[in-house]
Amino acid sequence: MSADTPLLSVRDLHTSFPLRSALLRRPVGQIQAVAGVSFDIPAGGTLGLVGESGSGKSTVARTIIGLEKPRSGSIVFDGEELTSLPKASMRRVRRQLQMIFQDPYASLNPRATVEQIISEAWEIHPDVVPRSRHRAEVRDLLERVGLNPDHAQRYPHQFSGGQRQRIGIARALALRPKLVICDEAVSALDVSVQAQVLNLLADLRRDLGLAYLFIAHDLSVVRHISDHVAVMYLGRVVETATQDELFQRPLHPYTQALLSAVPDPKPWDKPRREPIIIGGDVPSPADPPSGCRFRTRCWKAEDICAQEEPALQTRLDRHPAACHFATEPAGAAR
Amino acid sequence: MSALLSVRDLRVEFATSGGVVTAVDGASFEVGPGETVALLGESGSGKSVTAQAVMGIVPKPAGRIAGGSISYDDRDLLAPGAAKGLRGREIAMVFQDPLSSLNPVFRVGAQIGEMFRRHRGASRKEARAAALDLMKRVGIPAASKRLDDYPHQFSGGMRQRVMIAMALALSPRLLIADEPTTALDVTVQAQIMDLLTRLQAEEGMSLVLITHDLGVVADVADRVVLMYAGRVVETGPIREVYEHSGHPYTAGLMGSVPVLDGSRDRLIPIQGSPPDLLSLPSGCSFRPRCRYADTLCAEQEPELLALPDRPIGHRAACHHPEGVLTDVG
Amino acid sequence: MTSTELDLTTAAPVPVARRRTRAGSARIRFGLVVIAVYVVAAAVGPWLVRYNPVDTRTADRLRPPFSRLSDGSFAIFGTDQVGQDLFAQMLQGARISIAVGLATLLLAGTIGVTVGLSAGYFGGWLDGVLMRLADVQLAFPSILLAIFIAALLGPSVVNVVIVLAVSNWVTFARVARGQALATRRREFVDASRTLGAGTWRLISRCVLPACVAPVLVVATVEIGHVILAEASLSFLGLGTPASTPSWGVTIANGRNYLADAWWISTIPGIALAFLVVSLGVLGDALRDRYDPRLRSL
Repeated sequence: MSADTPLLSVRDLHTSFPLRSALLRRPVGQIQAVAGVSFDIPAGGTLGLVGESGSGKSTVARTIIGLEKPRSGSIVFDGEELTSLPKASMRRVRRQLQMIFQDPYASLNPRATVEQIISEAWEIHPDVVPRSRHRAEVRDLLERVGLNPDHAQRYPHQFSGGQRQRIGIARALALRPKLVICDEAVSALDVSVQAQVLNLLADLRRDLGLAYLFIAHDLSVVRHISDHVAVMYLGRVVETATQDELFQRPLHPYTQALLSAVPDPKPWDKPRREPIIIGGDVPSPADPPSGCRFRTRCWKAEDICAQEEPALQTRLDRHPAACHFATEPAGAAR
Repeated sequence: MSALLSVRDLRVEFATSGGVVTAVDGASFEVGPGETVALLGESGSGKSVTAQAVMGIVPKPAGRIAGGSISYDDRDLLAPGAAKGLRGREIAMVFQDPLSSLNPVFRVGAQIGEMFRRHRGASRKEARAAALDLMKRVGIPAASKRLDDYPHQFSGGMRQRVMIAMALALSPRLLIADEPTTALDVTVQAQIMDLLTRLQAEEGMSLVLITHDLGVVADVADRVVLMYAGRVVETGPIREVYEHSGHPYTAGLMGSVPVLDGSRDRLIPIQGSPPDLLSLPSGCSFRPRCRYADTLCAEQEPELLALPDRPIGHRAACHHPEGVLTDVG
Repeated sequence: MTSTELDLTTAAPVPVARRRTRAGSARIRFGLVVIAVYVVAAAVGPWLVRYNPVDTRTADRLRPPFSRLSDGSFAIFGTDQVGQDLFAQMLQGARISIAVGLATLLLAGTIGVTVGLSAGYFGGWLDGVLMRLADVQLAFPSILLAIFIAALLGPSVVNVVIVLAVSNWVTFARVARGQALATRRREFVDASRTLGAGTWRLISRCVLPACVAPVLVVATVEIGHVILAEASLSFLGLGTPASTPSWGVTIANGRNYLADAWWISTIPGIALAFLVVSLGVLGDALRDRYDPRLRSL
């Protein structure tokens, strides 16, 4: 694999869930949670995947890691096509591709000790770390994530939320992965603890050469840790760019609205940014609007938006955005 | 300006299987008429319990108000039966999760209308008309059709608007909003905050916003009250407190929050973990996480005092505020 | 090593655990002591105090408790209608009752947990089929089943165990299924899946441990019911054969003498009741103990 091929390459991914009628549980429709998502992540890079509820970002994560089956599309990781991989080979791939979960209270087995939680990875993959070294390696990992190695025999409920999340990080690192998917990994933490964990993730990336797929709804957090950012709405990517580009020059109206809605703890002494308040609610993913999915809430919508779905392609010679009327925001720096 | 709501040395305790937990330990603050005050804190800070105490809904028998006073319009709210007449009428509350705060088996129009039927003796027809009016006012589209819908048929943001409509029904003078947007998407959050500020201006009421999010209140609040481990650690005009923090906790929070248009440098988090209310340290509760702490901090609990060279309204509970002020700049 | 902000404090809720275990361990000790007494009595007693079912000593019929018998021995609980020492009978009966109880629980528990876990974890048509089977089982009166089996195969200890196990596995299945349903979607199960865990590991490491506590509680409550049920069946003549003096048989035998020789039915009855209550108390206490939340010490 050359240095240029990305570590992870997702193309036109589709994942749906059947909608069942309440009475007889017969399938009455499909929820198109992911409706054609494509992106690349280079080795050691960080892609931030941002979206609100119903955007499908978590489903993308779960599909890549194998917890959900895609309906169509391709996922190429480290040169291998994951969607057609037999189960045994998928187990091998798992070593390189791991995940950190959102809820520090639900993601650790309450009836297992910290050591058991982390060394479970090596029990499933005995060739990574031999049994005789389990204890020592667990201590190493705990230290690396900033926890006291003497606490390895304790149970999850004896730790705070931030500490539990560190345990989850240690577990994800146990198999020495190349790419770690962080599925809202800091969203459930207090602000003061969030910063600790974000710093830890950045340090680990530097020390271990990790790549991240960082999924979040908090734009400030995403900006802080990502090189590239992709914005999702109702199952599709509507804009993707380097974090610099995206936050300085958002082209898609949804991105612009999203950015203007982010609360700013230091709003004074700045040019008063024009708030874009979009009305309405996110349409149901079971019955998405025709053409451009954002058109029902977009102030620029015209007829063409209902007829033709805008492609995610480079607009205005800048970066890909899926909008027929992409414009730079007013007053954007040149 | 005499305060509309005045909380003095409030103490609220909970009996748990591990011992007595002091959720609120001597909190004092005021809310003036027409003012917006942000009550800011993380988990374990006691901000929600404080609001519950004001509304008289501290869960019993585990919780009890162990000391202090709460007065509204110079009336003692802690006197038996006092809150009853005021709750819902002059003081209203909006909660975080509208799905569990609205009754799922009653139609939304009926729930809003109930406010008028119970407190104003309105007839069913009058109540329904008033409910429709309110739903339009809070921006629910196609309100006349949605009067007869059930809570689960609304989206999160719409449900929150319904809650706000119910709270506003009797034109309260004080509205307490407990994490009103925490469970909502950021675009919906913007809608709801916009609605709250607009309604506040229209009604001329006081607004207490309880949240853990520094940014949500920055634009909107006049003053901020920061709580940590059940105590008020800093208070003052919001811009003053944010830009010239006098307490290490506040300064730490400001330094650990990533800002959208700020630098992407490494964050400076606050050391340690949120406080365990069952075993608080002696003296200042923030001590284990504070880099300015010394022996005085272990012995004596700091009082909320005015800061040197800062406006009078800005107070912090710290033995070494000068260190924080110079570092923050 | 990364220069992270070391987070060396843990919030260990020590006060909570200590207090609970003190009260909990009193109940456990009480329950265990009582049950130990019964078990020891059942295991060792019949060797120490001889009992021969065929032996009838009409001279010593219906003697009240604390009486001295013709051969000089001391009958602490009196004698029954054929002159047998009631105490000796009860010791023998304890052995039978407890053995039947344990065997039934093991059989019912194994069947029930297997069925429940499979139904809950895999769901779909398997769940449907298994749960309908359970419903049928519940609807079927166990007495009828007992009569059927007794008529077909004759009364014996093994048959009693089978009948009781078949009648009682459903509770275990329901509990196990509930736990499987609750656990299989939890994030930590997903976490193990992403590590590469297979179905077997997921069930045994994630779902099964969640079942231990509730199954244990069910077991200790059920054992009381089972022992009672066995006594009832034996009382009706459908359980252990009349020659094996299970408590039910003994109580049944004393039925006609309640007015004059009340001790024949009453004393085994009290012993039975006391055992069942102690098992219930132990069950509650064990559930508290087995929740690792409280194992922090």
